[in-house]
Amino acid sequence: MSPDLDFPLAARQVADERSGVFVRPRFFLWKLIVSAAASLLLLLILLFLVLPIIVIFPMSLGGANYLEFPPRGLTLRWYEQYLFDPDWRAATLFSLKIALATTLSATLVGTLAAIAFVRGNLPGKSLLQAITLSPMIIPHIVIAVAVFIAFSPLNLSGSFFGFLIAHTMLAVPYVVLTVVAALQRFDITLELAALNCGAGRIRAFLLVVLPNIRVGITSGAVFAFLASFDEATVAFFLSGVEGKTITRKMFEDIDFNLTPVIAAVSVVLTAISLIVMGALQVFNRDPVSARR
Amino acid sequence: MKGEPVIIEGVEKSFAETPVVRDVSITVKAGEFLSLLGPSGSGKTTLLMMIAGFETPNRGRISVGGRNITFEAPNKRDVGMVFQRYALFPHMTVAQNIAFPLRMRRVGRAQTRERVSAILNMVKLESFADRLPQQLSGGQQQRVAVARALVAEPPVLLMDEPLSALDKKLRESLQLEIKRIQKRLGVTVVYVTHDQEEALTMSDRVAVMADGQLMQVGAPVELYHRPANVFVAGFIGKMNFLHGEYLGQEGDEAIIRLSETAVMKCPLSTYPIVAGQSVTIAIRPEDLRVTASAVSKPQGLRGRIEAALFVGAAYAVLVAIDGRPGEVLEARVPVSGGSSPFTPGDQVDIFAEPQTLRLFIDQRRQAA
Amino acid sequence: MTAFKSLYRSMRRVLPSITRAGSWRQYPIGLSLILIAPLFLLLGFGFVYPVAQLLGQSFFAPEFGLGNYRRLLETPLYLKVLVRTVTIAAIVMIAALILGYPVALAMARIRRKLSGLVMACVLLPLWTSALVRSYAWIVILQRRGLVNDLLLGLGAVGEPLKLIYTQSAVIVAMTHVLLPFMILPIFGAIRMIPPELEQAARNLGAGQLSVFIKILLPLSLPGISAGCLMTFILALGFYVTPALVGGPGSLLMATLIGQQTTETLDWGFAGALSTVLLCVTLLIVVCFRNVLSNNRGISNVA
Repeated sequence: MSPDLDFPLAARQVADERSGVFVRPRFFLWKLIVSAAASLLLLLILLFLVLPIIVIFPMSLGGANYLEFPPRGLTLRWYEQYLFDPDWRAATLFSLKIALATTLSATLVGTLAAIAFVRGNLPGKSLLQAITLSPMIIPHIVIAVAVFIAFSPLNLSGSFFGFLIAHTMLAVPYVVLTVVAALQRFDITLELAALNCGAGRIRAFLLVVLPNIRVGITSGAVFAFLASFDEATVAFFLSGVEGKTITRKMFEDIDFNLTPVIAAVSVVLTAISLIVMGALQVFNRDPVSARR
Repeated sequence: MKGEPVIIEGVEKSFAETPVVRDVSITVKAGEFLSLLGPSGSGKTTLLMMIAGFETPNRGRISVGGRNITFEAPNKRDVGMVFQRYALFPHMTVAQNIAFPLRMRRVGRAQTRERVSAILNMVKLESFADRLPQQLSGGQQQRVAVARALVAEPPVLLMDEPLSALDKKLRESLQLEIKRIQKRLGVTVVYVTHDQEEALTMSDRVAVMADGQLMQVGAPVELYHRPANVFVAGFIGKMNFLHGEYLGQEGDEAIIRLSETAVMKCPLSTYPIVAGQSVTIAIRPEDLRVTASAVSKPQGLRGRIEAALFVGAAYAVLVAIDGRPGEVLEARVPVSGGSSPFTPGDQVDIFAEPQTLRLFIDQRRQAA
Repeated sequence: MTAFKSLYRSMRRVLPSITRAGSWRQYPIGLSLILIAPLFLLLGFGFVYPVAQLLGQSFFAPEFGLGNYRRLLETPLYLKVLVRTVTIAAIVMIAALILGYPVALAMARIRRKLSGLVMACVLLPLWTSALVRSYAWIVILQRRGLVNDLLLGLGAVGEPLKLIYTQSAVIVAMTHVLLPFMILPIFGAIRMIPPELEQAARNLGAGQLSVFIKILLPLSLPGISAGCLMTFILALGFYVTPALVGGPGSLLMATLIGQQTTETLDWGFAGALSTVLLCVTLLIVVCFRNVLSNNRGISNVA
């Protein structure tokens, strides 16, 4: 996405169109129609992408007891109901607890594995990598049912640890991917330089490698958080009466009583995702350009 | 700080069965500036990596100051190193970069500050202490790298093509500066480069490497005037080669037949040689004499001027040899007056003083 | 004693060169194994063991044999579900490709400020839970939802249409949910094509259309393949959207497996269905991978 590269193309197109005006007016008109149609098409697709998500927001502020659009009268009562309903609160806290723990464990486990993949001397590396990434490819419904069937007899379904294991497994591939990419970009001679300066392997890693792959690790951590917090399929099957995630609670309520509270919860859920991603962008800004 | 000798004995290294360094032995004297010179893939960088400890040799021994460090961990070697693209830690300021080796050696805070500012002073970067490496120019980054490598006062400094990323002018001024710092500190330097000019101007001695093997070690003047083999002869400076056949001996000079009519005399080297053996004669351009064809000389070569190029102090004259199609010799003719001494197409005689010639026996491939 | 000492000494000499593979650029094998051990414990207990048990259930519950698979193959309803799942996944993939390509092209080729905006439009849905997006489609498509209100208001229809809980609803919502997975790989591929190439083609007299067909399309093929593979596979195993937006008439493999697990509690049959779904998915991954690498030697899909 280099603007320098894009610019000459744009300039050329302008020049082309100008010459079209003088030389071939009919051709130019045709081009104008085509480009207008293309822009309209693009706009429609973008609306298709964004509108369904934006629609939820006014919905959550509507006054009526059922869903209506456009809403009549603005109110925060659905947010109030969400916040003061003990079930929703318990589910939200449970989800947050799982997501934070998953973030920690997936980041740790994934980073260590990524180091082994990029820098380690492992036989059968590509096979190991394929197994690591397979939770991304295998249908989540299969994983969900498998985990449900395997964890139920162990009293792990509906429990914090059951979720921690299942969600960490789902989140780890994201961490491995981002950290592997960061390590591949990392210049190994920096680590050699640290060794040469007298640092041992561990200090070289902590003081030189780690700060330089920070962006990859934090990105992986955020993806891990979202992979757990927004996860609905495994959560649907693994939740119990006591241990219920916010996504499972939403699932139930959508099926049984479709009230605007769900719209409010959706807005909260989306806001948390966006805040976390936004925080990542701010945190990962280049320190040099930030200083200037 | 005092330099210590580096002794490399019979070192061999291969990567995945491919030998990259073959049986290399070099002794670097304490305080000496030694360059490892060679084309890319000659094994010079691998050799340096083994001295630094990043690679372990398959065979052989490396010692610094009498201490065997062949299998020593790189962080225990006390050998400074400047990397090709400097390898400055991008998340640390200049001062933090330079303080890093002291921090690793648990030097006290006050002393660290003192030594960092002293060495910053030496590389003339006092006012840049708090900048990040990305905010410095290439030359400044290079000086920071040198400062970081030297701040812990190692007896040996390794440099891996430290100037290759810089433009020519900056490179020349930094060459002088590195030389000045090295003289002042008395540190032993092993310097890897593929730039022969750089190696010749900076080094006390140069080790020429090719294909993993050591070709010759010697002072720059020695390499230039007494190359040990055809490779070194061709690699260092400009060189003309003439192929011929050894006819016999006349006094202490060898008679070489170059063509049906041309014969050359040159000093006989010590290696055993038999009549009929094919040989190569090496001549520097500045040792060739070119004169307008007049009386035919008994052992002169004749040729035709292809081009005369003005190169500043002299003309580079290219001469196509008669009767040897495709062979062109380059000679240096001093500028006299304003115009070129020759025009293309001129018939000329070429000759050289025998003592300026070097004779090499052609390596036969039959050995394999 | 001295023998031990000399043995120890020679081991200290020799061992590092073996364990370090002779190079400090790589971590020794022992350390590598330690680093990867937590991941393998996790995957072993959290992934391999449950999936293996699920597959086992399909052969052992309620009794040993291929009964579950026979039931699947002999019941037309289940075969219909399988065919429907593959068909819907294919439709979603094609719809996503048609809608996604223009967006990816625009993102890669328009001015930076605008492309940032387009990028935001793509990332917003990606960062929103699939659950929230499926819910949004219920809101839009339900009996008294956005679309019906609009149609009624315009007088286009006399009474609300049945839009939700249909197969079309599943297709529309799933296309929406999976669209970013199509756009991003294609965008990545187009961005790698130097714009000078198009300029050169234009300069050589190619029209805009032939530049697209002869330059952009073939060079973005790796991205298209990757995007199609991603969306197709995700669509095959998607649970949330069909479970919420779909109805009884649009049962898919995923929803059927869910039903068997939680409602009928027939874990053996759920296992058999899962095995079939898993095999179909893996088969497609393997085939497409081959297609990808045969095409241009591009193996990095992600």
